[in-house]
Amino acid sequence: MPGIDLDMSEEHIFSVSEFNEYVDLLLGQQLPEVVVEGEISSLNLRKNWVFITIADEDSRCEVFSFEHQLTHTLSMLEEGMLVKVYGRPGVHTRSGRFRIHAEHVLPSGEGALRVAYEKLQQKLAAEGLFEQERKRPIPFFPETIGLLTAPDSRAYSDFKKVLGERMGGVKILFYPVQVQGAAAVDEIVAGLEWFAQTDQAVDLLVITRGGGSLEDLAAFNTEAVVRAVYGSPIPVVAAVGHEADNSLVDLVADLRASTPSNAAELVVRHRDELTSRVTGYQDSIYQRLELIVSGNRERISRALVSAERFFQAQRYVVSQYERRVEAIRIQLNRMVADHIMHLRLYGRDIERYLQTRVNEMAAELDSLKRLLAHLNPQSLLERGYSVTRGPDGTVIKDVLDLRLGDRLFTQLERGTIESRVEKVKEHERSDSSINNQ
Amino acid sequence: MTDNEEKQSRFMKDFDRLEEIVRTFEQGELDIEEGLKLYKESAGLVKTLQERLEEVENEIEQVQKQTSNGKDAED
Repeated sequence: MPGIDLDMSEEHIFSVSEFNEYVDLLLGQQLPEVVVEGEISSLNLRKNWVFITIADEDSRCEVFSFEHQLTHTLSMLEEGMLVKVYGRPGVHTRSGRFRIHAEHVLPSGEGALRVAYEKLQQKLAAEGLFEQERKRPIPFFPETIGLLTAPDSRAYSDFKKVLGERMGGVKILFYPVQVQGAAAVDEIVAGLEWFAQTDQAVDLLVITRGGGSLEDLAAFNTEAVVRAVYGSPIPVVAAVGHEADNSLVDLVADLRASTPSNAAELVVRHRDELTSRVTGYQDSIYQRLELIVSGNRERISRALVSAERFFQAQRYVVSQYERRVEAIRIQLNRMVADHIMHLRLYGRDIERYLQTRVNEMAAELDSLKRLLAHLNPQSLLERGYSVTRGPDGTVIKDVLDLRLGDRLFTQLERGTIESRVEKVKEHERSDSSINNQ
Repeated sequence: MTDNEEKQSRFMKDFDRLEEIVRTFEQGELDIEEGLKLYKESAGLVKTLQERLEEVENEIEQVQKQTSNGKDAED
């Protein structure tokens, strides 16, 4: 491999390979990065390689790149389009062909950009990237806002200023990016990816830059940036260029602001607005509460009036009862008094009457006792009567109950006689049955 | 970040709750007990919300880009 500081004073013979490699290295060192503008005269894709020829009126130049390097813009390119090629000039060592190894190929000039823009817009619209339905709501009260814009830019200071005028206590997570030039696309995409994967809680993203030509805004019209915005898990507010500029990022964002200042106006409510809403709510709640309280007061006073009436009515009923009770009480008292009087007056008579009655009853009882004594069989025996019982102990009252030879027991007042029936004689009728026995 | 999450959800939670209380008052036939209870709660919410709204300064943190990995400034 030949060194760059080859001593040219001596004759040096290169091999073809060495020569091509040498020139390639030399070019790379002398012209590490060039931007060449030309119209695309041919555009071919083979495998993963991209072969472009650019030309102006007099000359042409070959451009080589890899498809993955041009993904941002490849779909926008077409033959006849004016482009800027960003890359490193070199020599293809095997073929010895001179070419530019391109890192970016960007449409150049209003016309080309317009064509590219429209081509990409149609393609992405067909995919549904700009559909209104997929737009997400912007948080009502974001506490952390991700900001993607150029450091020290007007867009940055305008956004920050207007935000500060409206609301405090907000955290701005600022990711500085280039907003134009060849590196802009990669940086913006990297920024969006950073926010997509950060573990910080970011409520929404603001991607913004000030106004400019279509070329200045070119990064915001590239497929890569548009898709990165589309793929952001965090809602995106875009403010690219001025009101009239309609970048594809504006179209794909969840919310479009006309300027960086307008973006700040849209993403945070003014503290005065929120304060008045809060105090308005407080007033409304207080008024409603007052209504409830006064309604209750009215109800209570109404209830008091009707309670008063009720009690008056009750009082009347009660007094009626009281009057009746009093009347009864008086009556009762009178009755009791009367009774007491009666008792006093007739007490002695009653006593006398009772005594007489008791005496009468005692006499009656006495005679009854005497009568009872007469009826006692023992007293009959005492007077000489006796009782004769049969062998089974039954009192014999009829001779017909006896047979000859039956044993009899006769109870006297003192002692018992045991005897045997020898003869029976009826008192009032003939006793054939006994005779027959 | 958890501070921030809590802060955010707190403001929105409080704000939503305040709106809910307003709706309850507007719709409901509240009795005086419930009304007083909700009024007290709303007064607390209003205080917290107003304190948050009185914050003046915004904090700006610039992301430190590290191309090798996705680590940010807070790591």
